[in-house]
Amino acid sequence: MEQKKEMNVYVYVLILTSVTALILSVLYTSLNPMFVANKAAAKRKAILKCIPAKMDLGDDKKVNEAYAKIEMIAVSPAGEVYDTTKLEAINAMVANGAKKYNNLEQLDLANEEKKNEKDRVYPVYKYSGEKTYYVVAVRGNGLWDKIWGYIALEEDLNTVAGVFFDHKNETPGLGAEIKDSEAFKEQFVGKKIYDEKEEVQLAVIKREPPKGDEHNVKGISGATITCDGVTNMFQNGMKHYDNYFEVLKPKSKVSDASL
Amino acid sequence: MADTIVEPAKKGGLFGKEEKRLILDPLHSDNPITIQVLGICSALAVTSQVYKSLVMAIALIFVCAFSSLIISLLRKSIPGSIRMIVQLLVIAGLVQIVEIVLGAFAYSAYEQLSVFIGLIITNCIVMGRLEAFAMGDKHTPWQAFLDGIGNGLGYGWVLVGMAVVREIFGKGTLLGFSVMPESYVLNNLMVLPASSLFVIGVFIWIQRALDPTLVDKS
Amino acid sequence: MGGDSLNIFIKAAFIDNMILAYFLGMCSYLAVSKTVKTAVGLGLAVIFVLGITMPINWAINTYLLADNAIVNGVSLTFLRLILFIAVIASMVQLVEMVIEKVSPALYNALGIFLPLITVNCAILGGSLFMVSREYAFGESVAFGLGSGLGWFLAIVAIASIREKLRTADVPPALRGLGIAFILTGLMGIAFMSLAGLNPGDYN
Repeated sequence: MEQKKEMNVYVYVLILTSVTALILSVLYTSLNPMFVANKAAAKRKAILKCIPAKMDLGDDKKVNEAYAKIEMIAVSPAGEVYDTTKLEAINAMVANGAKKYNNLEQLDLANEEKKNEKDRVYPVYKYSGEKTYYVVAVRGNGLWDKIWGYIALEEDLNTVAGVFFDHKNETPGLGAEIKDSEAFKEQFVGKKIYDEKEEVQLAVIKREPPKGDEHNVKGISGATITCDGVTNMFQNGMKHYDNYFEVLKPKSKVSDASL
Repeated sequence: MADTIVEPAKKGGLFGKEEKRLILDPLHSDNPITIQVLGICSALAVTSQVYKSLVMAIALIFVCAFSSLIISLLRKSIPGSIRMIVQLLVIAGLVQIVEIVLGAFAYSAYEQLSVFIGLIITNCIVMGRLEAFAMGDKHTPWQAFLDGIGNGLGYGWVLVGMAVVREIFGKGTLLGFSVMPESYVLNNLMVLPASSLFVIGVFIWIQRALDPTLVDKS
Repeated sequence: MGGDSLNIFIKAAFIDNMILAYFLGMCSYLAVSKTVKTAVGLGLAVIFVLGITMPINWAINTYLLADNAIVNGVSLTFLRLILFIAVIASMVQLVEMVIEKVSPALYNALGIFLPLITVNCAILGGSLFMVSREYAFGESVAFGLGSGLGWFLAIVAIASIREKLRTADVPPALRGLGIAFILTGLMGIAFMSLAGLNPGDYN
């Protein structure tokens, strides 16, 4: 009896493993498209959330409807624009374990960061509703791990219209408030990113900024490092868009030509 | 072996005394978290919000109940030398099902719970119940299933209870809805991960103060 | 790269501590922390198992499970949990056999705690964190060893406190478990103060 049992061990494990793997693969294949769709919708929602225009983001369907007003533009740090037909060109530049994209909407800063700096492509989401907004993606380091965000800019490409932050692993109640606290995010609205010299001035500071301050917002107490991370994210993240903004500006800033 | 299966069935159908005990004991006197001290890891990490802990509790009840059922059904055929591996395989398969289903139907919960769904595999409650109950020759698969549900519930109520305390005092909300008066100053300590340890310590304190039979003898 | 790995090692051991920041591996942490001696033994075993399972699971994840790893367009990520736990279970079994052969004394001292490492959340948690943080090979080794060291430190610390506590006057209902939880919470808050230390700044 014992002998027979031991002989069966491998067969037993094999059968059990195959049954489990079969069930899982059926389930995975049938449900994965929904997962992928959810993931895409979550990203679209994050982008739409920082745009101040009124919209209903109740469910995924409404999110996708609202997202129809967004056009995605992929730009290189040199200011070149890649449209959807250049997907091949973008995919040709993968290095250091970066993944290829099946469509341009998958463009992801985390993946781009693995590439050589000159090969990176940055997304700009142009929202054309009653007003036009440009949403850019930025990424940086928090206290524990990565933080990232979307910043919606007014047509002058300087005034912040809204922000969205997220994080991988900041402390709940402290660093995680950059995502959870609406009050923190609302402070950014109306602030200017650049000064007259086109330097990034927007920063999160420890104290309440004086009235009329154009560039500073008050940080979250107890989360200094995460807040410094947000400042750095602006400092380092916005520069990738500089060249593209230069291309864009003559068209969008006709009235400011005298500057 | 056959007679042992008949015996409990004689006692009172699907919900006899024995079966009721299987569900009710884990809720208090044999609670997996506060008495057996199992499954603490996930209990602490997901209790910052009620919603997260609810999803986690449901996931654990599912995994615990069905792994007990499956292992109890397979019990006689499992070769002794690979008992642990078979148990882990069944648990891991079920947890993976939970992960796939959550990703498709409750994406925000999937995002928030992240690695903690996978960690249900190493939740000692599941494995502990398999070893202590489902593998036992005296119990029918139905009883094992109930035992799984009971322990899942026992885990779940402590989890949700902790989350309620932490969310109300830490964020002033309950399931995202504001419940505290405007004048209430949020207690940031409650939002910190470490506070879950204080809350669970106080839970144990209260439970044992009310029922001195549960006090640690050593 | 080397600096990165060192950074990750220090972070995993002190700042991102498995027990004090994530509460992983609590079950055996509470069960085995009654005396310092057993705590040291289990802590060492955990360092070892974390140190070897992490690179193995990294290889499995990168060369077997990742999107397009074997066949283009096929993703086997749904087998991740099963394979990870299988690797961990077999490694623990292996460690058990080796220790039994090499040092029967240590084997007897560790007793049932050895197989328990399989269901130590810190081990599987480490592998899952490694995937979600997208560590490279060297980084995952550093992360494994660092997390192991952090776990070791935490369990030895609580064990020494609990040894002292035996003579303390704790309310009866709080004795044993209750006080252990509250102590761990206090240790967690104490470790939070290390969070300001960012090893990356010194590179």
